Amino acid sequence: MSKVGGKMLDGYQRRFRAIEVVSAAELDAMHQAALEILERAGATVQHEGALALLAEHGCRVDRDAQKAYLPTGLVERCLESCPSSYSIRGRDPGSDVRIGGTRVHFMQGMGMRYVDPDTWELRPATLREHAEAQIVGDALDSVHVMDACFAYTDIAGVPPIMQQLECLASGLRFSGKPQHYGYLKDSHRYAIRMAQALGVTLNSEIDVAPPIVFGHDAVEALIAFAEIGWGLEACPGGAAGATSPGSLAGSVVQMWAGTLAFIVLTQLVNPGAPVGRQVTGTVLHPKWGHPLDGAPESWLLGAMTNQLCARHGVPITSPVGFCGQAKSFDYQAAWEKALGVFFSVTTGSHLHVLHGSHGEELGFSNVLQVMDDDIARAIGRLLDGTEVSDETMATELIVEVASTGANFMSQAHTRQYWMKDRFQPATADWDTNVEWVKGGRTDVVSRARERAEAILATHRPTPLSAEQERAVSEVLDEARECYRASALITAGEWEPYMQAVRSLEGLSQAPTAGTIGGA
Amino acid sequence: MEAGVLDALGAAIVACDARRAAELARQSVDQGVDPLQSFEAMTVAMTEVGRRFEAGECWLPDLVGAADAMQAATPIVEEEIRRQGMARQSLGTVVAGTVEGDIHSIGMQMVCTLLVGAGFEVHNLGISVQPAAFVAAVREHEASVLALSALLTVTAAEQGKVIALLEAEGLRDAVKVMVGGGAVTDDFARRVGADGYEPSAVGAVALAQRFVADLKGSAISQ
Repeated sequence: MSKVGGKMLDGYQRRFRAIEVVSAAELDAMHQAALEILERAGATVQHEGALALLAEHGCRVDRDAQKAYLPTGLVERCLESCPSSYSIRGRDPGSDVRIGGTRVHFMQGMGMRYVDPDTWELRPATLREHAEAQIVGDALDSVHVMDACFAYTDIAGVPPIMQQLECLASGLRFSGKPQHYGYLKDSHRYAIRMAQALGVTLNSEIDVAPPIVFGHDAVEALIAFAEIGWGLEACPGGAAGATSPGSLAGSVVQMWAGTLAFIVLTQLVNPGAPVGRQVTGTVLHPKWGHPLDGAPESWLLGAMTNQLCARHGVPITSPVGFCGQAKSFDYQAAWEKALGVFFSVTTGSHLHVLHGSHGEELGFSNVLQVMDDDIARAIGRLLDGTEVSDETMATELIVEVASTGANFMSQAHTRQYWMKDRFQPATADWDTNVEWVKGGRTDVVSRARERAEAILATHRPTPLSAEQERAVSEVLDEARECYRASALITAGEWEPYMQAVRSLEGLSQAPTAGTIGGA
Repeated sequence: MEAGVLDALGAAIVACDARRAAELARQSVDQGVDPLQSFEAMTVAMTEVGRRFEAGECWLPDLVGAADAMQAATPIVEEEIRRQGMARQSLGTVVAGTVEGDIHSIGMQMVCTLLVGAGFEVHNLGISVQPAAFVAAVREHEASVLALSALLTVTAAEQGKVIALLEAEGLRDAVKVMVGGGAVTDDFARRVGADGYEPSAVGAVALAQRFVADLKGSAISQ
């Protein structure tokens, strides 16, 4: 159980059965449909080595079309060899997170740009703001896994090819918790070296383009992570009605087929390699065609996927409900997130993306990280449930009070249970109206801003040792030189990039007040 | 008979029936209907679908389906127009594609389909298109609009490279550039030197229409 104020990363325990939205027969039907798709339509695999591997294991391969047709027997054997849970390792002792089973953890969210909490405008973040987002995430008990790679993906001055590496480096410097990662061209080889130098592992998402297409870079990254046995998340794409069928079941089937193909590849590279599914797929706005993460139909897609994964022992990372369509941190933002995340968690997801994401993943905010902490901990409290026993049913106490006209407030039993396992919001206001007026009629956004500032002023993540910092810097330097040589970092990009890197000086070891609310 | 086949052609487009639209286009040619009138009937049908979309009476898939149906009929009618030595007045020529390194195509496909439906001549270069290929296509087709798509932050930067190459090749002033995709915003479009950005496929068509109007206005004033 995660404790308020503590630093345990056990997460929460789902003590009740996950809600089922489809029947066992319907799950079997969708699974069989996916198997049929893999046999009849196959997967496009834009990687000669992977095609050869698939051919070696009985797939019919058309090299000209870069197609592999996966026989059901192979798929089922590979599914069987997947572990039903796996761990990811962080720097801090006791920070490891196990994904699978009945445990539920939360992951820092993803978002492209900085959200100004005064104007709600979106702009590129600075590298310093990104580092501050890591410090805040590290301080929050309900964030168990960090997503430094994707918390701000548009960072001023940082060349796109270096975005994930710089962000990962900041994440490793400013948090001791395990890290999520992705892939970008061949930068994963530097990410792996950085993580290995610090003795941590990464949990990486690799996409499967719709309908079932494995790009060359994606396969290269998949092979690299599978070979070393680090966690991988299959991310098949599917926007219902555009890149997958317009029906929810059809979208689920297509993406499940992509998941199975992904599992086959990982297991052929390294039998027993840990692999899970990042729950993807949304419905689209009926008029404008953009993804609707805040739509109940998108949540249903996620719930059906959760059930399929649970049935076949596939660990689940889910961003369902992590952000909706709200343009500010308002009532809409709250219900979109809380309902979506709650539904996903209660239908079986294991690692849940949440903190800080905003507006169709177009934005990220420290203020929202703090507000989402309440959502995560409240959901965690629900998951932990409550004990039913002779002690807690308190039959004798009820009989006594009913017989004597006493009250419960003065009972020892009450003193024992009054605060036992009670959720306390860190940002939401539960005081009386009178107290609220006396306190200045603050709203939740302003309270969250204050809390985020306080965290930045006081929280000190476990620092890197000098040797660890040297190792990280050496890998970054090598990556920069490699990408400069191949013109993926242009001459014009270099000086602004170095200015951005220098902006982190002075932030590294000391607590500092941040710039919440604008640069 | 002529009115009947033209009405049926329009109805097939409104009903998103690409196969029927192509059949009726062939029928109209076989019956000797003026192909320019056939094209006019198709345009009227698309305009009606557009009206219904704006009024909330139909949705994006209906718009795309109607445009697909028009796209199925257009080559048949256009071939007849050329055979008779006539020319169809298109709204303008658009070169479109997803930038180098990006394989996402659905957004661009929808934009291209709707542009055809709106009366543009469209050359969709596909996915992961190199800057030089975009520039060559703009030159070859004398495009008035270049539409660049990128879904990812890392590939969005490629849009700026295409625009820079247009400038280097002396073509920048002759073509309006619109950018789009998940990673793009108004601010980003300005930073890379694009002429405009719209977040939706329908908006992109309206933007293209404004572009060609601007270009015509510039041509007149010169």
